[in-house]
Amino acid sequence: MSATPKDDLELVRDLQAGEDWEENARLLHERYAGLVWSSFQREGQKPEECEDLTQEVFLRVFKNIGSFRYQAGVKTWILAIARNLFLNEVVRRGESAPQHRKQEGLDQVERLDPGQLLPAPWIGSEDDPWESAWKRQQPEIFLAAVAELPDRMRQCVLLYYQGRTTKEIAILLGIENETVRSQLHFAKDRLRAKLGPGGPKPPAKGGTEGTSGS
Amino acid sequence: MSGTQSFEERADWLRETVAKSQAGGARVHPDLEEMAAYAEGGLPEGRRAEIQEHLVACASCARFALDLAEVAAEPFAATPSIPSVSAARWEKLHPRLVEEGLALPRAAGALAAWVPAAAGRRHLGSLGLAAALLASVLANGWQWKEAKEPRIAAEVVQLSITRGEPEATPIALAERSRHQDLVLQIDANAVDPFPGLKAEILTWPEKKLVWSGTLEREGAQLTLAIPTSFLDSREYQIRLWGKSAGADGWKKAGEHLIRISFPS
Repeated sequence: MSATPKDDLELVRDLQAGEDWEENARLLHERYAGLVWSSFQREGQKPEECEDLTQEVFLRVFKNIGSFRYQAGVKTWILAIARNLFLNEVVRRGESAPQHRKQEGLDQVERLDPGQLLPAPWIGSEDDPWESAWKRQQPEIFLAAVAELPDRMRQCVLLYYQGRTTKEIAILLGIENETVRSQLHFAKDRLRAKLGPGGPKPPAKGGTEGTSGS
Repeated sequence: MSGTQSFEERADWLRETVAKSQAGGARVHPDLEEMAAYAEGGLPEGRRAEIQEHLVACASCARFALDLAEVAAEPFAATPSIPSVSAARWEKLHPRLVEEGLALPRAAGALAAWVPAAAGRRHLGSLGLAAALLASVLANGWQWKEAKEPRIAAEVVQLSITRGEPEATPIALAERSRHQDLVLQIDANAVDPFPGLKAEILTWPEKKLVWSGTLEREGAQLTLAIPTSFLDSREYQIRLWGKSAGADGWKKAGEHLIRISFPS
């Protein structure tokens, strides 16, 4: 008799093959129902809501297990289903819980390390390359200048302007926080050189250009 | 336009403009498994790069990826796995699984174990069905509607076509194939818009008629529910017949070959 419990992938494989379906489903449920329940509790859901949502998650898990492609870990896939269900539920209820929760998360980070937070020092300041471009009513030239940046730098800048913290950008791109900060630092210098007072003028536009300055 | 534009406004403008400029592939939202794999740092480099480009332009996916990375990385303790809690949750979930045709109705242990949960009903035979039903009645009382069959684990492969446009008429196994019906799904746009449509299922290559029935229209799909008791693991020809309003006879609308495989 084997005492080794099946790992997640073995369970999924047997579920997909329809082998001892109910027992394997029960084992997978037993393994992760508590984790899923906790994830809803962290979102401030009441215990009975956590139970209902958890049940929905596993219904979806078992309905979709046949299409699991082994790209992700089973646990993370189940948590993705849970998160997606929760976000849909929030929309259905007309709430804004995820933002609220995220704000709490940001506050916690802020208390720990204010230096890692956005809005970054240069957003909205005189130093902000966007400001120069925007004041000239040419946001396109800002984007064109961003598009010329190296890929990683460009991604950092665009996520930065989505309002992401450097820490979040690091998570999203799978790089170090310090790397994000240095990429943004170099990006700012490059963009300022292009868009700042000494940078190239925006392209002429139908003969109306330059009528206000001279 | 002025210098007082808010951060949100500029972020919106940037996102929209970047999204519009992206190539087609980057506009498609990754599915949940891909997002999970991305959050774990998995996926082949090419696909990973595509998703990164998508996240740059899609704030909601970026938000989702962040939440998932956070939630997946945190070793927050699950509710302690108290056997009684776990068992109670499973007992509450089980009727829903039965309702969806994923699990068998609760039955006496020996009989439940004897019936393969995800196998097609056709393998049970009438004796097996009667036993499962009896067990269900013993366990749950007299609840005919609870005595549903498990989901069909059959596979349907479209082989070729003997009439019409092969690529234009995809036939697939519908999600709701379960209990006692194997449901085929046919793209309605690919079939001439006859007000009435019926189908005949014939063995291939013998062309022996085993079943016929009408197609139901569900939005852009036509569905054909075939009782599994008429089917075996083998090849079949599907003949589609259409009938115009006011017309007396049926007109052939297509012939397709499929292979149906039930798990052994």
